[in-house]
Amino acid sequence: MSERSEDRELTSLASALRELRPMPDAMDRAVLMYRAGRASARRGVWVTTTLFSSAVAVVLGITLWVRPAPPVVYVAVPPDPNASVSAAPPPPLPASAPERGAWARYIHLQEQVLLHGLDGLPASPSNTEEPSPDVESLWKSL
Amino acid sequence: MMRWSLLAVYPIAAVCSVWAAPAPPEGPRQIRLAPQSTAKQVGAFRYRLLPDPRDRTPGNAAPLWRLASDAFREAEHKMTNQEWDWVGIPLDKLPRKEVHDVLNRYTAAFRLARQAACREHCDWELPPLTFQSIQVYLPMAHLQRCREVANLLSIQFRLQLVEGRFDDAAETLQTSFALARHLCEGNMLIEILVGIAIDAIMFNRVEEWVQTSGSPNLYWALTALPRPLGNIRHTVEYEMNSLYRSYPGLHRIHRETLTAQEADSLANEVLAISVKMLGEKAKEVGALEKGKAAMLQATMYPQARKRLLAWGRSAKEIDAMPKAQVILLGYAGQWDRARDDMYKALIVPTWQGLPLMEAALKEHRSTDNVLLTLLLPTITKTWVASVRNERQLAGLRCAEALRLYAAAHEGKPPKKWSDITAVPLPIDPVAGKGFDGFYQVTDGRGILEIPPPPPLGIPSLGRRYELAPR
Repeated sequence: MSERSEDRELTSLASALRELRPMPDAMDRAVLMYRAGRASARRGVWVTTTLFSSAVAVVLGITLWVRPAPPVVYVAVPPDPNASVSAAPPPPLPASAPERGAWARYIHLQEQVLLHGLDGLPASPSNTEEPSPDVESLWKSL
Repeated sequence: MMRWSLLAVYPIAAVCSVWAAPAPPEGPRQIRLAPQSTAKQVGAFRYRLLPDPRDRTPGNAAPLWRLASDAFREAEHKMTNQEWDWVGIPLDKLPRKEVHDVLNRYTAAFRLARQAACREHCDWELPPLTFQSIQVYLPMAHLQRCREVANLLSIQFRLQLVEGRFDDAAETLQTSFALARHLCEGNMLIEILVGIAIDAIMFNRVEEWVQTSGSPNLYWALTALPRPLGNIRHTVEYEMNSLYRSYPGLHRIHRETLTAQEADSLANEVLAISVKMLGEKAKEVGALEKGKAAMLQATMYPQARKRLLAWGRSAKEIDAMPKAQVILLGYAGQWDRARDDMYKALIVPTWQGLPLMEAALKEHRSTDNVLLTLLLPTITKTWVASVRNERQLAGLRCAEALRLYAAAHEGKPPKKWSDITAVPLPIDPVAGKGFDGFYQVTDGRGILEIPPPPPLGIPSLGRRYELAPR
């Protein structure tokens, strides 16, 4: 009899326990660690570092953007004949520039061929006859 | 806050990496030698790089080169930039069918180019080069046309090579090297420069040849190329004598004493035309214009007199001349001395000429003669470019000697350079010595690494020929 009575009590206890619902921790460990770290950190250092880094990044970025092209130093590097023909547009030859003397233009052409190989020669316009020297100029040159 | 810090660090790192990024490693060009043809080659000169003398025809090649260029330009097809790129893309990426289709449009140009190549000589029949006639030459249309023909030949060669048509490819090389040779027969420095540029392109084509499996050996064909590749001696003399061709009156100042009026007239002509020929460059330097004014004030005279005394003329002889003649003698003397010093460097072997050329440039480029300061560096650079070609040619001969050895020794490279005895080993035109010091065997592979030639020593001009055992 007493055993049956104990069973009932246990059953009622079990059902009471079943009624209980799990409750979340009142204390979040991650939040706790974050707050502890934050509390221990010296905020001023981070702020300063961040602002300084950001400023350096902005300055360097602007410098890179606006810096002038480096000075061109001409070195007589032989052309790579394997390079694309069309990739290296022939440099302009100021053939008609009156301010440039003919001999200076001739030397300029030599320099261009030295620098760019065949691509240093100005492209001749297709389907256009080259201007042949007139008789008078040939005669004068003799 | 930490996130903000990280965000700030990234751009800094990015910017720094852009600035601090090391340049791509630049080294010698790698050339992996392929096994040569196993077929027995009939005759050492079965393949040639210039037309066989038996195929040569009398006559001038220049009109035919012009016609070949005309045929190219008048063809209905116009080469696009993408098509011109076939000169440089890797051989295995060459779109054979497209290239065939395009080249078929230019058969007339190829035929005429071949005929030109077989002509015995080439005379571009241009008027003598003077400061006055240079206007007639510019913009050197005949050279512009050669550029197109050379590039077209280059594409044709590459197609023939990838298709294993070695006989055809060798013939295209002949035509191309003949074009370069014909340009080098010209009098002007610019012609020889273009010839050198075409030679360089074709040596690169030969480098493709030696990397193509089954290609016949070109050792003797390369060795038979005339040396030097371009006649720089003649060209430099010719160009440097432009002064006397331009002002024939200058011949007199060396032989006789002019009257004051004659000397003034000649001096004015020389300075006036020189200023006109130089145009803006003369203004930049200002020397000649100032010189003209100064001459009138006789301030150039003391300097010229001092020069003539230093060159061995007596004070009595100098004082008997009009001042303008003394100035002209000083002016022409600068040209003559610069020409002679340059010439000295050109008539001795390269390794002896290099210090002479450097000394000549150092001494004469600081002169107040503007025409000379313009011309001398170009002459020096042309010579350097020519030496570079000679070196590349010697390197290719070495490569072919290696392939010959391997063919006779079951594909194995020689243990040491002097083991190659079947053919004469080339001499380094820069050092005057053999290439023994540049050869080694590593992991069973024969490696000939030729450093870039002086004086620039640009790494990419070096060559590394590698022969792997079969």
